[in-house]
Formats: sequence, C-alpha cells, structure tokens
Amino acid sequence: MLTRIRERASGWVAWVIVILITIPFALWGIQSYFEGVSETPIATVNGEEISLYAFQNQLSSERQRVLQQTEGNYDPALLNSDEFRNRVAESMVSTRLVTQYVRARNYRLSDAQLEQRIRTTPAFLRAEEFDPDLYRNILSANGFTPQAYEEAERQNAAIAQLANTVTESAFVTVPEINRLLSLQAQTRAVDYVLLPADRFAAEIKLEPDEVAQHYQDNLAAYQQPARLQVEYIELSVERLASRITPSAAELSDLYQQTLGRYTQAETRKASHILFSVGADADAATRAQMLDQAESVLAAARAGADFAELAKQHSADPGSKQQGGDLGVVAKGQMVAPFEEAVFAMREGEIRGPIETQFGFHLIKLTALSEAQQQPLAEVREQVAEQVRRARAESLFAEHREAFQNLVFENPHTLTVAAEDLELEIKQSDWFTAQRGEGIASEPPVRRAAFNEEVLNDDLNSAAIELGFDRLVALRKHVYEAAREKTLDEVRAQIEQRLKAQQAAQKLKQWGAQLVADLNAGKSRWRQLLKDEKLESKALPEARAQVPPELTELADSVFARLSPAPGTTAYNGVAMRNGDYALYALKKVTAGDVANLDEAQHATLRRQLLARDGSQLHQQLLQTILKNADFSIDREQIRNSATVF
Amino acid sequence: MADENIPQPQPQTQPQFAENAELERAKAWWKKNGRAIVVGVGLGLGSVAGYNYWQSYQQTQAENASLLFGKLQDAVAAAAIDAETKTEPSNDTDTENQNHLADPIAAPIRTLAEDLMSDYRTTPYATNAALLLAKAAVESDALAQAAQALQWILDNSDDNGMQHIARLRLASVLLAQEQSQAALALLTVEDQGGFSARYHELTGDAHLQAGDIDSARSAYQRGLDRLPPTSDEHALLKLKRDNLGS
Repeated sequence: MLTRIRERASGWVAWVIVILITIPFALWGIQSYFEGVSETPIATVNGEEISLYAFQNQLSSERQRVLQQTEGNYDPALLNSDEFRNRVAESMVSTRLVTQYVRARNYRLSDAQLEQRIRTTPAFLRAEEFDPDLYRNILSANGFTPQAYEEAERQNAAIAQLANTVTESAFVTVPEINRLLSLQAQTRAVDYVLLPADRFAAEIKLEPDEVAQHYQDNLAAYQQPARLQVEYIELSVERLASRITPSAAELSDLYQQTLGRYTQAETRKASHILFSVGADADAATRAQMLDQAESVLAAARAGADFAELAKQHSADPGSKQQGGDLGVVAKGQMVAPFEEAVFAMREGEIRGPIETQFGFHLIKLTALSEAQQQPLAEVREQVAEQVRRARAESLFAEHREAFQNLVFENPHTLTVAAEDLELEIKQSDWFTAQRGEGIASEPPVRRAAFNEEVLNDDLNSAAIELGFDRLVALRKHVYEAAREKTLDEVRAQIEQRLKAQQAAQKLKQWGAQLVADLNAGKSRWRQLLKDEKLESKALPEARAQVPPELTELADSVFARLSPAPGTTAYNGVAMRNGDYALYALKKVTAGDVANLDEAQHATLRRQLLARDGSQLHQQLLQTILKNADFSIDREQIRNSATVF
Repeated sequence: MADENIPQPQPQTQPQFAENAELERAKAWWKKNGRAIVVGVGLGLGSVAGYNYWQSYQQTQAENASLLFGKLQDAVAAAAIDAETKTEPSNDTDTENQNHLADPIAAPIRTLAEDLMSDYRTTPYATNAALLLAKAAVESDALAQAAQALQWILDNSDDNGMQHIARLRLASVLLAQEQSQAALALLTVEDQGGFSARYHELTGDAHLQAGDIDSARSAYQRGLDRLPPTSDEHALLKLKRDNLGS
C-alpha cells in the first residue's frame, strides 16, 4: 500500500496536487484554517457566515441602545423575545448584504475623504478640534486598532455613499407636484342627509335559532380569557402606620423636637408716609423735606389721623391711597433701616423720620400679634401621624427582608409570613393577564401572578415591590383556563348585535335603492327630503374641513369621478355609527395651485422627494435582499443564550 | 509577500523520502520536467501579481472617482440651496427657461459629472454621477438633458438596482414631457425588483395621460396594494386613485 502511494507520489500527478495545495496557503495564509469553524453560524449570506458570537454581541448592544433610548422604560421580556432576536438577526443580514453590495461594486472612499470623515466625527473632537490622543484612547477603549477602525469606517462611509446618492439625486417634476397640489386643494360641492340607524330597527325580528346559530358560528369571538384569583399579603408603610398607637411620651417628645412647626410667628402691620428725596437731591431740598417730615410727625403725634396724613403727604404711590398701609411686614421685605424700626416698635407707636434710599419715612405700627405656640392638644393628630409614619417606615425597613425570606422559604403557603409579620391574607377578585382591579390593577402583580411558578407549580410569587413603600406576595387561589362563554352569558349581547346588523343591512339596501332611483331620474332629491321629513346639509367643500364624524362620507365623496358639468351625481355610504349618508355631488373644482401657500408646497415637495429618494433606497435594499442567497438559523437564534 | 517560499520545498523534500535508486530517478525526472514546473510556478506567481496589480489599480480608480463624486455632491447641494433662496422656480417656468437656453446646468456640475461618466466608467461613481446630473437638469427645467443622463445609465450600468431607479426616474421625466407612450414602453419590464409599487404608480400616471382612465385606476390600485397603508406614499397615491372614482 505505502509503496504504491510512494510510486504514485513521485509521478507528476503529485506535483500538481502539491502546487494546488500550496496556492491557497500562499494567498490567504494558514491561519484561516484555524479560525472560527468551531460553531455553526446563525446565518449565511451569499456564502459568508454570521457567527453566533457576533450575533450575541449585536443583540446585547441593541438592547443597551433600546434601554438607553427609552430610559429603562422597556419590558425586559420584550428585549428577550423571539421577535426582537429575529429583528436583530435580520438587520445584521441586511447590513451584511449592503456591505457585500458596495464591496462588489467597488465603492471606496479616498484617503482624504476618510480622513475628513474621522476628523469631523463629534466623538473625537475636543474643543471643536480633532484630538489624536482622544481618538486613539476611544479606539483602544473599544478594542479597535486604528487600521481596523479606519477599514470599518471606510465600509460604513461606502454604505452611506450609496444611500446618499439615491436620496440626493431625487427630484420632483413640475407637472407632478402641481397635479398633486391641485388634488390636495380640490373642493367638492355636496349636499347630504343622514338616514338614521334606527329607521328599520322596529321591523327587525330575529328567527328563533338565529342567536344560537350565530353563537355556534362565532365561538372564537366569545372567549373568556384565562383568569385568576390570588391570595396575597401586603406589607406597606401605610398599613403598618394605621396599626401604631403612639404613646403620650412619644407624642410630647416629637412635639418638643419639632416645636418650630407648631409655632405661629409674630406678625406686625405697619403704615408709613414717605417724603421722597432723590439720590441726586441737593442739601437744600433734603433739609426742606426733613422739615416737612418733622412737621407732619408733630401733627400725627398731636393726634391727627395717620391715614389721612398719608393720603395728603405721602410720596409712595403704592400705599398712599390705602392711608399708607403696608399690610403685614415680614423680615427681609424692607430696606434695613425701615425694618429695624418696624421690628423695634410697640403697637400704636409712631416713629420718624427714618432715612432710607427713598427719602424720609414716618412709620406707625398699626398691629402686633405676638408669636404663638400651638398647644399639643390642638395638633395632637398631626404629631401622631408623624410618629406613626416614622415608626412605620422603620418597621417596614426591618420587616422587608423577613418578608422576602419568609415568602421564599415557605413556598407552599403564605400563612407563615402572614402570622410572623401579623399580616392579613387577602383574596383578590378575578383578573386576567391584561386587566384587573384592586391589587391586580398593578401590572407587576399581574405579571407575577401569571408566572409559571405561581400558575403551574402552585408556589408563592417572589416579593413584588410596588413603589418604595409596598411589598406584595401572592399565590394562586383559583384559576380558570380560557374558555368559551356560554350562550346564556352572551345571548343579550348577540341579540343586540344581530338586530343592529340587520337594521343596518336593510337601511343600506334602501339607501342604495334611493341612490339608483335618484340617478335614474325616477325620484327627485327635494321630493325625497320632503317625503322623509329630512333636511339636507352642505358638506364643507374642502376635504380638510370635514369634521371627523363625517370621515366615511368624505372618503366616499372624494372617491367619485367628477359628474358631467351641470349634472348631479347621487351616492350613499354606510357610516360607522350605523347611519346611512345619502348625498348629491354637484360640482368638483380643481385646486387653485397658483394661490396656495408656500408651506403646503414645501410639505408636498418634501414628501415627493422622500418618495423618489429615501423610499427608492429602501426598495433598492429590498431588491438586494430579493436577489440574495441567504439563510437564517431561527432555531439557533431562539435558543442562543442571553448575554447582557 | 511570502511568495518566494512556495517553490522551494519541492526539490528539498523529495530526497528525504528517496533511497538511492529513487534519487537517481528523481534527478532524471527533474531534468525532464523541471523547466515546465519553473515556468508553471512562474506563471502562477505572475498571475497573482497581475491580479494584485489589477486590484490596486481598481482601488485607486475608485478612490479617485469617490473624491470627484464628493465634489459633485457638494456642487449639487450648493445649487439646491441657491435655487431655494432665489424663490421657487416651480410655477410659471415655460417663459423663464427660454432666456438661458445656453446651459441651464451649472458648469462645475456638468464638468464633474461628465468626467466621472467618461473616465471612471468602471466605478459605481459614473452611474451615481449620472443620477445627480439628471437631478440638476430637472431642477433647471432641462428635461431633455435629464432624460439623456438617465438613459446613459440604462445603456451603461450593469447594476440592476440602479437601472431600476434610473428607469423609474426616466419615466417621470418622460411624463413631464407628455410622452406617455414612451413612458409606458419603458415601464413594461419583467422584473420590477423591490420597486413594484412605484412601477405601478408611474404606469397609472402614463395611462391617465394617455386618457385610459380604467387602466390608470387599476394600476394605481395595484400600487396601493403594495404600500404600507400609513405611509405618505400611500396617501398621495390614494389621492390619485380616488379622483378616478371607484
């Protein structure tokens, strides 16, 4: 055997083989034989593989991105759903496809463009200047060498070049934009009447077995979703507080510690008369004002009414008419000399002249109420509430861990936790995974309740935190699987629905008959309105002005061919609320493009550029996808472990 | 390059497993075939070098084209800003564009685009330049030149996706020139790629222009069926279809 091989090996065949084997090593190096064959890829795209490792990386960075964008407000279950995983995998496939597309077509950024691109990347700028050290640091922090990063950027830029080419070269032709503008601004002259939904209601009689038949035919529509009643215990600050009776000592202690809260500060009311002296006034003016102030002061002290004097003499426009009254003066409101005087006066005292930057003041303290301490008896309830709250909070903190442990260590009962912590075991009403009341109105409670451990294994749920001051644990009490509702449960509902349907049907047939007669000239619009005692209304002519409750009517009106000039076309449409709208379309007027406002033109132009640009780019990507040969291993995507 | 390492193993490894008689045989064999092997290996290395040279030539071409294309993009963007600040040329155009028939397209745009289309035909930037040239032409109401640029892509590009884009845009230019029959002929293709909604819409436009309302309506309907119902495109196309009655 060996000799045979040796003989052959010295033949020319061997040499050809040796050379053939050598070539790939020379071109691609030996290392490609040692790389990444150890696991099956999650997808193959035109022969290139996407590894499980790359997928998991991408998955976790996509999750980070979603969490950041929604500020953590995202259900982790959704981020681990098959749908999310598949979406990430699909986007990786489509990125890979575009990468292959631009590579195959030799899209390639020049060095100058690449440099420009990197130099203007905001992450690498310090004080609006490119910083080479920052650049290297960021790269190495993210595990990139400059070469690798530059190559990746070249690729990204090429992909962007493709997208930009298609969007930047989009255009809108004049006839196209004018035609659409004219359609958007089109007006239609329409008279309409609403034939009421209940017109035939009285005539509808259901066949005896009709309800049962409908029920049988539509069983799926009459499902009662799976529902659940749970037993639960709740540890909450509020409930703990309600059970605490503070002792007299506690009350008086806290009252003493927080005296400030129950002290009514003293209040002072003052009036003043201002003799205004400007900052640049000369000595003579000043002296004159001072004299005046002195004489008014004398008058006031002699018993003249201060308020009257203020009205006569004060230069303060704000208080003059009120007899100089400034109301309650609190500390920090007035300029310093004024405040000092006010807070040094006795009730009824008159002082002055006090000099401030405004001039000279005469001040009268009109009322003074001393600081007042509210006695404990008056504020007992307030203080008690605080004691309860404070003790409840520390109790809650103490019990919290015990609660969690007791619930976890006695997974088959809540009784232990309830007894140890003196909690009451309560029972919820029925609730479904989607909706509930009372404790089940809290989504985390419903989520925990419909968890497998609770539902199938009959175990306690974990302790569920509701806000910072409530803990709940629950276990299954009664479970009812999804079921069909019985006929008796839904009979009334079905009857009502069938009657409404048949009445609407009849109304619609009648409406269609009226339309046909009107269009054939067999009946006349006016006569019809008179016979039916209806009054027609005019529909707003511009589509945008039609009120939302008439949407179906507008949809119908604006989907008709224009009637021949001078003629009227009749039509009708069933409305959502069961009415039937009958209308006469009299005229269609094209929009006046020349007189439209600029904004409307600009909006439409933007939409049309998107249609011809970004939309075409999307369709180009779809085309690439359509022509590609790729496969995605969905099984592996579903089963791959989660790395966060 | 590690290329020099390749041929050496052969003469050296052979004696290691050969006994004396075999050594003689090998020497004789080498005398006979040695030249052929050296030539073969030489050819192999040569073609590798040639391939590498061709690759790097292509790469240089692409990089140069990319640089020019960047300038073209800037020029087109600048022209668009100019047009916008000068007030919209949209409404009464016919009288105005007679005045500067000479060349409505700004000189740098034309020069850059034509350079790319002639000197860098093997790069994707030739097609991309033609797309931008067509846009600049339409914005200057030079529909015939726009049509020419788009037709150039249909004649020269081997990129299926870009061909679709050029064809659709050419159809809209033809419609603006009231050439509905030419547009219809252009739009009749077997493979619509992922672009079928747009193909149907333009087909509808062409039928309507030719006065065939029923065909237009059904083409529009086919387009609507292929668009997401909440999109702007859907709303605009629905406007067109609804106006034809249902």
